[in-house]
Amino acid sequence: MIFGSYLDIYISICSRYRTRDILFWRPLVDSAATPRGATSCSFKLLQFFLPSNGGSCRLLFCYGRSLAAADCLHVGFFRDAEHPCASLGSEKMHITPDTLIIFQWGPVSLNATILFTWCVMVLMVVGSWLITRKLSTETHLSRWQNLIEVLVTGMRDEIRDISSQDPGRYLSFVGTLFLFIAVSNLLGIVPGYVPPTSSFSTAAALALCVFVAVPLYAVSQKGLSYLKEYIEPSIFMLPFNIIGEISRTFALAVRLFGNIMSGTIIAAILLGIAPLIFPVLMQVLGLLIGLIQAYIFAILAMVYIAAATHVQRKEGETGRQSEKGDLSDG
Amino acid sequence: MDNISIIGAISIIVAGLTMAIGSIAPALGEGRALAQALSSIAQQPDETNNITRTLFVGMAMVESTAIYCFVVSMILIFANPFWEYVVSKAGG
Repeated sequence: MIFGSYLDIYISICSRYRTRDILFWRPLVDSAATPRGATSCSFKLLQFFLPSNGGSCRLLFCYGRSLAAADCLHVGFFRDAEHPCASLGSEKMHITPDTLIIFQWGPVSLNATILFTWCVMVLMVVGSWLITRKLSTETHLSRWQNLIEVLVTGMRDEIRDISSQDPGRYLSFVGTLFLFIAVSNLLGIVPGYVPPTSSFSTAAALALCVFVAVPLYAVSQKGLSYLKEYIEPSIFMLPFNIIGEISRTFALAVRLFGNIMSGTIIAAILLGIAPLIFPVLMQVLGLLIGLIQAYIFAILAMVYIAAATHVQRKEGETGRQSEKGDLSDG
Repeated sequence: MDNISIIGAISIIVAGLTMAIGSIAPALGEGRALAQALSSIAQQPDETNNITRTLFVGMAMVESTAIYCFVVSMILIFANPFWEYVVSKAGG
């Protein structure tokens, strides 16, 4: 009897949140957790549970009438899978798509981050293969070839402006970073898609790529004498240089993650307040922010690499070098 | 109030304070950077591309402090380690 009434309450609360299409809090009521004395149906939610990683959910119940009295405070803890109501299904607000398990097969689980990263990879690889399959050098271009050409020449120009070096050797790395982040952010308008860049794992992986690529480029260009820059002007600067490298990598990752994640979460919160027109505007803002963040990530990666590979040349040599670079990559 | 209520209340209050205080300085800094960039563009319209790119990169740098605050407050609300600890103690 009691269980039925409580279950009704649960369903009604749940469906109310479903209609608003936003499910922060799912109150769960368990008959096993009902205190013996609390026959009153009027339970009061003291606090909604906070969704967090691991899929656990919690709810503080207060049975009875008085909140102040300590003996009528009852704390219930449930896990999603254990609860009989879990099959009713509802979503939680995820701070990261890592906890969103799409597919579980034994010990191997496929979360949303990996799945959507694969989607982006497949889309980019197949798309660029389809486009570059039939390139034409005539005046009649397909529009896709035109798009790719604009992108590639734009990226080459940017890289040449920043580094004042031949962009060819950096284009593959920096261009891939830009395209991957841009595509994975821009696909956010597709319903059901979660940008993999809103997971800290993806952002950290991309930033680690930059972290590794900077010394690699510098050593391949300047030889092992690059490593001597870490102990300049004196050996005491070594820890500070290393800390600087690590902290800027961390900043790169947190910046990308924070921006994309904030877009998702703030859009979700505003959806609960003003569900009619406002989410569209937030989507547009999210697209803009996604593109700007991709640009900033690539530019910063290029700035770091350029700073590391920057060679001190004499005046005349610099001019000749940059001229040669301009001619050979036009 | 028991421990869980205290931790929850403090987390939420501190999350709000983090955002409120932490966004003041980046907002001032970004406004200043933008104003300077606009006046430089007005003085040297030829250098617009260069200035705009540097402005974007610099703004991203300035903004990262605000982003740190945001991430910290999100962690406090949605993935609070202290909360997890107390709940696991009480639940297990």
